[in-house]
Amino acid sequence: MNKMKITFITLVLICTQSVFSQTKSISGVVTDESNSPLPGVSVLVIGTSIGVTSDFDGNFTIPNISASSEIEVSYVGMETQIIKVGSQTQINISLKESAESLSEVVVIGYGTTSRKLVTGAISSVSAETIVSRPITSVDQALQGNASGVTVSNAGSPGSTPQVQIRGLGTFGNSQPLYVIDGVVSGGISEINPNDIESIDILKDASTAAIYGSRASNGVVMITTKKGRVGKTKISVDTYISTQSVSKKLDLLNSAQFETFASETYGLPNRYTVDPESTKIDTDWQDEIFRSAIMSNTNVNVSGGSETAIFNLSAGYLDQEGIVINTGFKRASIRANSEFKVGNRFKIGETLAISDSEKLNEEENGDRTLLEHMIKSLPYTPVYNAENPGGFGGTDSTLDNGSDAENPVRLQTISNNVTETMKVLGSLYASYEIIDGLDLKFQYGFDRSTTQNNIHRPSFDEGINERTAAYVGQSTSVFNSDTYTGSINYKKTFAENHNFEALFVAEEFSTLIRINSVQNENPLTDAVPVVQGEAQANNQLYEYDLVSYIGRLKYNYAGKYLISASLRTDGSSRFGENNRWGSFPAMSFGWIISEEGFLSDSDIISNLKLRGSWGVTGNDGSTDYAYSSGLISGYNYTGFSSSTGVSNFGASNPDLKWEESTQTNFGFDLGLLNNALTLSMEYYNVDNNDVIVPIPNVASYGLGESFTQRNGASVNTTGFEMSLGYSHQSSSDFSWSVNVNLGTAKNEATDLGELEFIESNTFEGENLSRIEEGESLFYFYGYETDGLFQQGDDTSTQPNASAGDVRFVDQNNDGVIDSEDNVKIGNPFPTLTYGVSLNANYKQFDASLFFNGVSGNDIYNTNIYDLEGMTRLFNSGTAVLDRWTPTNTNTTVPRYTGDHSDNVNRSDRFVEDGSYAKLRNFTIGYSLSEAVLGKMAKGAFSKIRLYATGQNLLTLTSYSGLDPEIGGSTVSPGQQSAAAGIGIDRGVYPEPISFTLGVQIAF
Amino acid sequence: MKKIKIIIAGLITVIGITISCDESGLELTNPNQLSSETFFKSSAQLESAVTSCYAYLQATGNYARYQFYINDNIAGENYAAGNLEADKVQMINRDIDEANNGNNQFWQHNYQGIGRCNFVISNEVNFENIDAAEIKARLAESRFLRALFYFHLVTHYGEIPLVLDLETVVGGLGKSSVEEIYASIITDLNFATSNLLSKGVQEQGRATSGAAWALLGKVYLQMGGKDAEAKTALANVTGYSLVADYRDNFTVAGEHNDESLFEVHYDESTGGGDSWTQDGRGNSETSFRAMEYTGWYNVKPTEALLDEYEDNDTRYAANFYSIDASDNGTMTNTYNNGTQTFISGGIGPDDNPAWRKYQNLDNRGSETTDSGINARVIRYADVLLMKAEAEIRSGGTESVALAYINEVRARTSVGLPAILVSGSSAILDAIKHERWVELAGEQSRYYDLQRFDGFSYLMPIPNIELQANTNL
Repeated sequence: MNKMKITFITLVLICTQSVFSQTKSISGVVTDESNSPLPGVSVLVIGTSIGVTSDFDGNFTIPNISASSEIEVSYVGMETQIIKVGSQTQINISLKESAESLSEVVVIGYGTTSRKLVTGAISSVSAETIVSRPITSVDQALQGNASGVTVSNAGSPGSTPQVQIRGLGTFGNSQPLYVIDGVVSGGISEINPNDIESIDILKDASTAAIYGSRASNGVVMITTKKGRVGKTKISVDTYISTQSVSKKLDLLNSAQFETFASETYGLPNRYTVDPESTKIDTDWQDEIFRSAIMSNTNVNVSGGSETAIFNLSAGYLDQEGIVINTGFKRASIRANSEFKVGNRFKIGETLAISDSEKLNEEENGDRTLLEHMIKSLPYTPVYNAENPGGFGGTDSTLDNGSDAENPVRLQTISNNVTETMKVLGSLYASYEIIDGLDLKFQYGFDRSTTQNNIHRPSFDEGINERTAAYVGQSTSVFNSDTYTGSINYKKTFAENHNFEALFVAEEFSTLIRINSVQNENPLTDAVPVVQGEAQANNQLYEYDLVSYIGRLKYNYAGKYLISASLRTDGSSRFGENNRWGSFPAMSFGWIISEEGFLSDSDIISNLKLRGSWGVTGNDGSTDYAYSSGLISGYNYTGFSSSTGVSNFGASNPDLKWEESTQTNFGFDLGLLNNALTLSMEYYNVDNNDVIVPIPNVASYGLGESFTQRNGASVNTTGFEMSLGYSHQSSSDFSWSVNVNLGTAKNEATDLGELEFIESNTFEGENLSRIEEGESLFYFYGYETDGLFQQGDDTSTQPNASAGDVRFVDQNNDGVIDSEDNVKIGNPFPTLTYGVSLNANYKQFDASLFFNGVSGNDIYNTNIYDLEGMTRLFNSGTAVLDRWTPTNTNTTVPRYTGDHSDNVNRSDRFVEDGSYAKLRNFTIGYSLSEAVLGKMAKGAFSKIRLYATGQNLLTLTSYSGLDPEIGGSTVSPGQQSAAAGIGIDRGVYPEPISFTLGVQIAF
Repeated sequence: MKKIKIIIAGLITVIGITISCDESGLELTNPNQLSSETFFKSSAQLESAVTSCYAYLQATGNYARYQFYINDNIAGENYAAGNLEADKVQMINRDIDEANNGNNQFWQHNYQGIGRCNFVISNEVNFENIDAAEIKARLAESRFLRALFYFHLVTHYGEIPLVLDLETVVGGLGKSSVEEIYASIITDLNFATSNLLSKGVQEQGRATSGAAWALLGKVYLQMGGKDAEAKTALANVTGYSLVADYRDNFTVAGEHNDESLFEVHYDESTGGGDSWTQDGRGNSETSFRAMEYTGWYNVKPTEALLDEYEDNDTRYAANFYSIDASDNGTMTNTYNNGTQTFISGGIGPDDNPAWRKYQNLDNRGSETTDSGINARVIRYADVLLMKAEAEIRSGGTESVALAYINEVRARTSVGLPAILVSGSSAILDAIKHERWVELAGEQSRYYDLQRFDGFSYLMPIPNIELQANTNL
């Protein structure tokens, strides 16, 4: 299909020049770099409509061609070549693989188009970019490679990433829609990035609106590798990495702790009762972090004949986490094939099976592992054979109630494993009824089973104990089915009028079934399965979406482009009143460089103006959110029958999807034969009817605190830019640079009846707030103004004395109270960017890749633990520099025994979150053809060795372990992961890693 | 012709797909929930709905955490010993604000309890296939609990919204007067006293007629000017007696003893739920109290409270641990079945006495966040002292009142000499003293201060209500 389109488009785009002279016949063979014949290659005589395709052996013949003619030889995935015929009659052509040519075809909803004819905003990431560095997941492929796409560190290996396209415009689900080979998928964490041919990100409404009620967060189109007609190729990629933590916190050692404790809380009793044991000096960071090994191997076999193409691949990833007892393993197999029956009928399938195992990070008491690591006393031994369970810990009386959990015990005593088996694929058949009229039917399926097995044996380390083993097992089954029928008609009238029309009917349904059982086993720690009386829980969620889609595209002579689409969706997630919605979109483009006055320009090779408008929806609310009923969870076990049933929540039959209206303007510019390319976008998004958890009137006692209502509006605007320069040279040295950057500024424009919405509870206070006229989830609290010094008037601040934090009396009413809280930070970056540099010299290649964000703030809750001195825990070394009457020139407040106002939410905890990371630095060496030819009778077509360093350098002023904060640590009551943006609760840091790899092709 | 046939076949296929998009699939009902239309059709269903009314007594806003912090801290029974979290310090300082976590939880969980009660009471018309007497008894339980929840609220906030059914109006209800709230409480308790089963007949742990009479008496006393009514109500509390050992009122072993009128059930063995956020749902069946008080030593008894104990009052040693065995006669300074001893530095950040009441440390080495000791809401010693108070305040006989006080003092394990004073003022002082030392740390002092000292501090209505209620 792609090939045909390119041929077609090329035909349209070629300026018609007629040059006739003497004619002859030429013939030749087209091969790839490894001299394998390439069938199906398009060979066109430039300026005419004459064209042929190469046969199975790569042969082609063009009769009646003049010596002054030029032929254009093009093939998907290969660099197009233009060759002067001259006196030749036999022309043998060797095509080179090309990254750029891949981007010539852009995957859009329910079809493909040529990059040249795109009128919306689409960013693309090619397979070459994906495999150029050792990555393990799709989100890593997106990070820094596409303007306007923000990806945040997701935690331990295998965690679900936070991906945002064009910022945040909703309070709930903000994840983009993932479409894999035309099938909407539940997620991407199980996808092996090595199987990906290209990723196209539909950012604006005109391209995304074809996905209607699910498209507001943008759409990520993932296309997996298909086979090609020709010799069967085998490639093997394998690498091994070592990973380590890039930064450590400055924590008190045992001696420092003794000084600190004696000067503040008083030495714990242990110092008098058992002084010997206080000499222990445990570095809990060394105990928790480790250097970890990762290995990844992928094998790919592809090929095909004129009637069938196939691609078969297998991959195995084994990644240890840099935190002990974390890690991720994934085995995956993919088989894509397509069969031709006659000339008009095609049938094919994509099928991917993956099986993964993730060792989870443990937490307890709403405190992350890293928080326990910070707080654990340095004189506590890691192990203590005398304690049941074998771990050291604090004692409630000996250690004055210091109750941080032994983080090594927390993380290692338990077995907390998530196993996921996913089968994802599609079956499709298409029939070309007459030329240009295609009928297609596709059935897509996504089946995944996720099992979380937890076994936490009993232990007693002193103040913390578990008297009976906890066993929990939960299984979540996710099924989705998509049935799609489509008709597409494409025709050119009167030479220059190019039409394409599409009609699609689709039904998408999902079913989620969750079964869980848990109990406590006081008898034994040896049985890791649930036995005896257990609490069981069973839930069932269904979702159904019926859609009708139409799209019309027209262009005149490849110069003036216009496209319009309409999707109508009916969704079960909404009540009868709002079950159906329509999502229109339109766009236009003008390729100025095709106009006569520019067509001969030596400088401007491409110039296109684009504009689009469209409406998309977000139905990412939970299933059945519009209804309410009774639940049987109000239990009271004092009675013979403990089950309590009552009403829960308030129903909202008017609930409907969020509606997003987006306008996009952009241009693409190519200079000097497209050596220099520039694209710029401006967009404006108005999200209306944003679903807000409106607090229920508490005195109604509805059980549920919130009701989902369409109650807010958010505006997002931004610019995006992609700039590329590729130094094309015939010498041994070539290089290229690509820069992309994006801005996204959001603002809550309307909150309906609400004055504000608070979220992100930390130590009893809400850190984030949404308010009209402000950016979303801004940090809210006191502004500080240094410390009180002796003699200062502290009368405005209850409890305060010299050495305490001075809060600013914003309303000048002479007293510091909740009225003085103000905006103290914005978690959203003003700029996100990526820069990549690639260079080749002879057999060497090198690449350098930076990405970063700037202008955002982070609320660093770790400072609360490191410098807060709220209770007797281990702390950061900063507490040694705390204010005392003799140490007044400091920013760390005094130790207070009598109040904890110094840790009130304030800008004391807010830091600049800007960073630039050197994500990747790779040097590779490929064996030359001459060398390869001598090896193993020329069996190898490619051998490349490379070394990569990742995250080698992070430029930031942020004091925490990693400035890249995903919203993955969700606090209780928080509406979504996105709501946790910018709050560092002890994030799992990204490792530094060093990799050695080899890529071999046969 | 062939082409046309194919086109027609293709179009039929597409139309077929279109039609096969089964739009009826869009109408889904939540399979995880029951429907209120079909509920209340059996005795077991009614019972489960009433059970849910009790669930919020166990919640964080009530006896799992904030019931004891709010009352004991505001009333001056505790001081911040460790670095107490800010919201609890506000309680001690009596400057609780609208954002105060405890304030929000207390409001929320009492109103959630009321919501569960309203769900039962308002659905009476829908009850089917249930015995009439059973209906009355179940409604009486719900109304007892609704009265208890409202009593918590009116005594801590004053004027509040009075929600008595399931109807909701946009923006919520405005405030009702304190008198209206009390009138509703009295109505509910009158229904409860005449329809509840008595202790022994009623399933253990559920509300009894005795508990309802005692609560009615307590409410009347708290209202002021209803002392005769209080006396009458309390006179109906029969069939209870003081247990010999005072400590038996605060241990797992002593749960539901002869002295107990109403308890909130906690059970360590069930545990299971997230004890940090007990929101009335799931199996959240443990209390934080033991960990908070003498696990983390977040609070300790104030000097004023400790000083109130007479010399050789054994309740001092029963209620507090000390490192000084000679403190106030014989002191408890051992724990973990006597195998461990509290020594300097081991009883919190300072060496002052710490709470022993409601602690598990007598029998173990450390506390956890899951304590299974039931919270005693009303016990007979409280009833006796209320009877004494009602007797005096209603102009009754001094000797009768003194007899009630002295009954409490004469408990086997206490054995203090009888008080012999005269005049209502002196006797009221004696009652106030006796309540303070007898009921220390039992969320009684807050109410006593209101009755005896004209204490009028109230919490502000919290943000959780203000943010959604536009009619306050």
